[in-house]
Formats: sequence, structure tokens, C-alpha cells
Amino acid sequence: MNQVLTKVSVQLAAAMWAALAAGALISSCAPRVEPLASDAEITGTKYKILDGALAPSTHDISGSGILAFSDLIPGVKSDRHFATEFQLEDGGSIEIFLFSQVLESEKSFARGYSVILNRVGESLLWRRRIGTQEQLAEELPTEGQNGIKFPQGGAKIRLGIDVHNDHGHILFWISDASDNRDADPEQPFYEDKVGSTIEGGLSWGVQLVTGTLTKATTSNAIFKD
Amino acid sequence: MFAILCWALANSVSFAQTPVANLPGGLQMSAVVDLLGQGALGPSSTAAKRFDMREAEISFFSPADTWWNGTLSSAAHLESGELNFEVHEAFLGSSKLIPRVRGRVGLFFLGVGRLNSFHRHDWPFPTAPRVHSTFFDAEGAADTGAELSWLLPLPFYLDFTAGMTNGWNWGHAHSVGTAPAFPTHYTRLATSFEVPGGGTSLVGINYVGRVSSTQSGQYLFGIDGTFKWREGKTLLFLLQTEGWWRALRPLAGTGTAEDDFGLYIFPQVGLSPAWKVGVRLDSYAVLNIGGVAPIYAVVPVVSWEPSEFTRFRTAFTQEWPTGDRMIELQVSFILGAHPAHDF
Repeated sequence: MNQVLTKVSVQLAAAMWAALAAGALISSCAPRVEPLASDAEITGTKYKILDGALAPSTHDISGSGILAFSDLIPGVKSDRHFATEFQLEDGGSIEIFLFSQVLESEKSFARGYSVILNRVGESLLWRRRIGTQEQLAEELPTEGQNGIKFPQGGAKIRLGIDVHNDHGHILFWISDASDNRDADPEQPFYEDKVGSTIEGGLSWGVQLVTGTLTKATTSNAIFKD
Repeated sequence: MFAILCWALANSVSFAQTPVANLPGGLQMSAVVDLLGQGALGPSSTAAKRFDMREAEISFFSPADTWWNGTLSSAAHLESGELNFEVHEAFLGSSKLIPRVRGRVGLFFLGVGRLNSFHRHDWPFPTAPRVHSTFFDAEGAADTGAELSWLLPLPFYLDFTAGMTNGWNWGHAHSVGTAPAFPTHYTRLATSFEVPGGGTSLVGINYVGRVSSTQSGQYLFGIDGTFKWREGKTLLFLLQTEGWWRALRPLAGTGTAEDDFGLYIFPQVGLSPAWKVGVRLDSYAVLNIGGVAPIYAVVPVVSWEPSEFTRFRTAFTQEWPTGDRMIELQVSFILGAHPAHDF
């Protein structure tokens, strides 16, 4: 019996260390990813216009088009907070792409996670999409968990998003930007428990349709979990 | 490994009726309370800014029969301001079935690395270095599966460990996760040798792998070393270090590949059996993403341990370039018979 066990153990050890060597081989060739060149910046965040007719100024970007922020998200499984403020014209929309990949054509995004807000009159429809082009968007609730009222369509909207991408936990703080109360990091409006890492990319950006973006910053995640 | 476990289980059946009360040791239990306070020093601090009960753990451990030992450990964790009670570890283990082989099956912290093998109230510093919290979790990676360790029949100490667990989740999670394309699997080879000045060491090399349901491969390669110089009950000097390299690979052709590396080194001087002073040096870097600066930290730690059952500890953390700066106060105590730890 001891001989059998020794043989099994040696084979097991050889298999595991062969797997380790194979892993080392796979690991040795990670391509380097570089930030995008930038055209301008908003609230200190550099960006590049990918497509469309966006009109950048020193304090906002308006019109219709798509832009990517230049600095990359610092890690596939990192936890990041994305803070935005924007206003939409009637019929306008905004899609915020997170943990996504800029297409080789540099005209749009692929994969990742995105949040879409459409304004129809004074109502605001918001949805989220995983895998951008590959899956349909799902509607998100407009009844919050934190007592904050969901904003009207015509309001200047403040949207903060925490993505805890080590375990696919996404939290939203949405409010009317005229509400001066600071968002409570422990009281998000809504939590989306995707449950697994978003395997998109390290870029983030915005697609605007007749709207104005006035703030876009990124920082460490604000929700502790 | 599965065949060996089946053989071991079959061997144990005939002894299953031995009452626990008649076995040496009997049922033992312990409770551990771990209190942690974090104070912010500066606007970029990520400190919790309060003093909380981080963890209250209750453990039961006993021979289940002549051949097997059972361990059940449950802990209440503070998470987002709420106490969540959960099973921490629950496993059946044995070192009596096969000569030189130890095995366990159940829920446990994976037997890789140094910090991951210990509950955090037994660490020599209050909170995890960045490399550990990034690659494993704030405490460690636990999962349900089976693990075997084999002390090789050699004239020196060489211990080989291999394990496989569900892998539906890795580290921190809020759900049961999804079935992986390939479950979590790991191996460790550890050796021990004497070091100059009468010290003893334990050095291990480690590998952990998993392929998620979305065909994303995670491969961790690590080396850990613990060096201790003792005089009687006094730990005169401790040197503990771990370095890990993580490779994330999108195997289905989508997503971004990532390589990151981190390490910590913690020298600690024992001033007396109760007083210890150390400083932890941390570094962490993403290697293949442009514009992401490496992160460094210095963490001086002072510990007062009047007995094996009570511990008071304070630490200061300064991290660059994030500017994260905080002071921590940890108070922990043990009630009852805490199980002995490895070296």
C-alpha cells in the first residue's frame, strides 16, 4: 500500500508542479496596456473624443458623441468609484461605460459594464448592461434604499458608481445635483450584485446623446465591504 | 487525491462507533474576540474612524472518533456596519489514516502562504498588507474542498500539500458564485531548517489557480518565509515575509491580461516575553498597465501580550502615493483552549 501511495503522491506532485510551470509560461507574456492619448480634460480627468459632435469647454462637454477617459482603471479586479454629473435634453441619453475596452477602431466601447439613462420629458429611465453589445439592458429600480428621491428627467443629475470588481458588486448613488447633501457612502441608492468579476477591460467613458457632462472623476471605492 | 480520500473514509468506518467522550482530548471550545479601532490621519485616509468589534469567533474542536478530528469555527464579522454571523471553518481532518499524510475535508482556509493559513487575530499585525488583501481578501481565501499534506520520507523536513476546492467564488463574495470552468486548485512545498544564531525557519513555495465561469484564469505564485529566534518563552526576533505574483489571463480571448506583484517583510524584536516592536514594509505594483504607480507602505507595530490569551496592539500606516495614513488599535482576547498553531 505504501508503494502505491508513494507512486500516487509523486504523480500528483509532478502533475501539480507541471501545472505550475504551465501557469508560469502563460504568465510570462501579458501584453502591456497603455493609457489613451488625451484631447482635453474635465474636472481634472483627461479624455479623448472617439466619435460624434461633442463640444468641449473648460468646464463641460455637450452635444452628442462618445469619449473615453485616458487614464486606465488600475487593475482588472480593483475597486473604484466613478463620480459623474450631467444634464440631458428631452429625448437625450447618457451611457457610462465601466471596466470596458475601447474598440481597435477607437470609435466605441466593447464589453464591460454600462449604465444607461434616458430622459423622456420629466421621467428618467435607467438601465444597466453587462457585456455592452452582447446583452440586453435590464431596468433598474427607481425606489431607493436610502430615502433619496430618484431625480426628475430635466434635473442636473449626480451619479456615483462604486465597482468592486474583485467580486462583481456595484453600488449606485443617484440624486438631483441641486440637493447639497453629501452622499452617505454606507447608504447607496441601489446595489447590483453581479457576483463575478466584470471581464471587460480597463477603460471607462461616456456616450452622450444631446446632453451635457459637467463632472467625471475616479477615485478609490467609497463603500467599505 | 479523491481515491486516497475514499480509501481513508472506508478505513475509518469500522471505528465510527467509538464515543467521543471516551477519546483522549474530548470536546474543547474556545472563543476569540477581536476589537479594532482605526483613526484617520489626513484627508486621503481609508480608516474606518471608529472602534469596532471586528470579529467574535467561537470554535469547537474534538476527535470525532479514533481516526478523525472535527473542527467547527463560527464567526460574527462586522461588514458594512452590520454583524454577519457565518461559519468560518468546518472540516474533518486526520493524520492517523496514512503514515506521514495529513488530510482534511470541509470548509477551511486554503493551506497556502503564511497569512492565509492563520486567522487574522493570530497575525503579528492588525490588518493585512496590500498584497494579501488584493490577492486573497481582508482575512484570507477559504473554500470547501479537500486537502492532503504529505511529509516526504527524506532526511530533512519537506512537506508537500495539494488541495482542490469548489472555486465558485474567490475571496470576498456576496453570493454563492458561479460554477468555475476549472475549480480552485493549489499546492505548497514547505521546508524547515536551522538558521545561524539558533533560529528556526519555515519556507514555502506556493501555487493557486482557478478558471472562472467566464474563462478568466487566475494564477498565483508565492514564496513565504518565517524565521524565529527564541530564548525560553521569549520570541527574540521574528522575520516574516511573503511575495506573491498574480497573473490574470482572459482565456476566451476577451478582457485584459494583468500581471501584478506584491510583497511584505516584517521584522519584529521581542523586548520581553510581553513586549514586541516591529515594522512592516509593503509594496504592490501592477506590472503591465501604464500610468499605474507602484504602492509602498511602512507600518510600525507595537504589541503588548501579557499572556497567551490577551493582546493589545497599535500600528501606524503610511502609504505612498495614495497618501493613506491611519493609526490602529487592536485588542483581542481568547477564552478557553485555543488550538495550537503550526510554527
